[in-house]
Amino acid sequence: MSTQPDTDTQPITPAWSLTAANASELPAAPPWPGRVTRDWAFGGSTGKGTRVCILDSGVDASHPDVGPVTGAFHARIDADGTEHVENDDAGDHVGHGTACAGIVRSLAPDCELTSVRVLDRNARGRGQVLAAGLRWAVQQNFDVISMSLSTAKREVSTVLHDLVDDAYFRRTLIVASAHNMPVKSYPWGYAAVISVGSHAGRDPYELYWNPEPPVEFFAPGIDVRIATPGGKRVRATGNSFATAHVSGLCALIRAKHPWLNPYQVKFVLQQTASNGHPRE
Amino acid sequence: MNDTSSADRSRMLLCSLADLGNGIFGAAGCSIMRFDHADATLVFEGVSDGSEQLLGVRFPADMGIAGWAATTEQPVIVTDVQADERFAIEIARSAGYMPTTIMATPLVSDDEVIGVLEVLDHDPHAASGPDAMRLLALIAAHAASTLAMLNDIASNRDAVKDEPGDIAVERLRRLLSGLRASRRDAALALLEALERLLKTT
Repeated sequence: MSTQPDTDTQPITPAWSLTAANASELPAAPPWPGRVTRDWAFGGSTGKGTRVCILDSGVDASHPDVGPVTGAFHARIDADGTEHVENDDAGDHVGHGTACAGIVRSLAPDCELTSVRVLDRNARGRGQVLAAGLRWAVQQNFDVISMSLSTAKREVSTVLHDLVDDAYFRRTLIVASAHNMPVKSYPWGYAAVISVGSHAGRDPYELYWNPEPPVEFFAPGIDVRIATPGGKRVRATGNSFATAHVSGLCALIRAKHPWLNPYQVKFVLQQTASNGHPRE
Repeated sequence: MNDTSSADRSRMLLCSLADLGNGIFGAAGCSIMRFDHADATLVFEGVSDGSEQLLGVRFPADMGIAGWAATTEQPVIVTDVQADERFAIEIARSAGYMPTTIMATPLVSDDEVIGVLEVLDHDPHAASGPDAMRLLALIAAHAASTLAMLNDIASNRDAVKDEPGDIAVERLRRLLSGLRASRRDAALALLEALERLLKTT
């Protein structure tokens, strides 16, 4: 299937104003607890019913840590610039997407995983392929899009900005790896994205909220056990793996509280962080 | 300085940088690879002492841990690569050395990944976890600037080769630089005479 760059991603009919009569007809938000705890946020959740997209190098669905993959797709760009997202049976010969998918699955065992392959050896044109894959994923209204990658390509920065804003209003949570190098890269620095760095803790549910963004949360990303294609496992360090942890947590939260929109999910993540409340 | 020595000096610079990275991390090896976009490969351009046989070796840019860094544009450390030998096969095949830990980080310049810096079996007492990542980022920034500058110099050199008028200038420069001092003075006098002749016609 092909995607069209500038259609089908605009917000639905905008409501520019609200009459007094209509105000009373707006649905009220479900009740919040007095204090948002981990138990309220995702206790008992398995991620069932949520759809998570792994935007990466593909996923090896045969790995026991990954489990079933509902769909696998590959984004590519024609010479004339036409974007395509097609069924993909290439698996994951790079291994990075499989590692991230395994972490998401470890936290949210019953979520639905979809792979969109946007990475290959050709760095040139990769920015456009990444944007094409993200555009398609946003159009599919996934609950979570996990992006353990970034691009330094300024030429796609505006497109990515528009796409993550669009995802935000579609209620899709985009979780993206922060860069820990002095390099400007995208899209993790945009406010509509949940940006993630690493901490060295072992508790997969432990988050730290960063009061000084653009990195908003720190999750386990140091010496993490990851799945690699062929049924193997290694230990690795990187914000990529911290990002997958937060994607898994988002799937758990969204499964238990489907009404939460992206800013409310960010608030829940902040509240369930180890420094989310005053220290007693 | 001729082309060969210029290329040699570029490699010496990158090798000394790899030696520096190796020393800072107390590692078993450090390398700087250039991303060759023409055939989507990574090429070893600078290696720490003892790994010279890797210089010029190419492998696909999405292969191994270096491939992770190049394709995701994110730094990564893998601490038990021997559990999955394909991660280190590009090194092992060429160097006969199988590392346990590999750190790799992309080298980015002007919006583009131009290479990868890789460190093998660093000493965890030198740096580990987030500290290792921070140190890696500092060295990578230095390596990226160096590699970008050397790429620019190499492209300018190639451009000179491609210009017919400049080929003559380049040949003359090489001839002059290869002469003994007394003969060079004579050659320069001849050149001045030629210049006067050409200006008057």
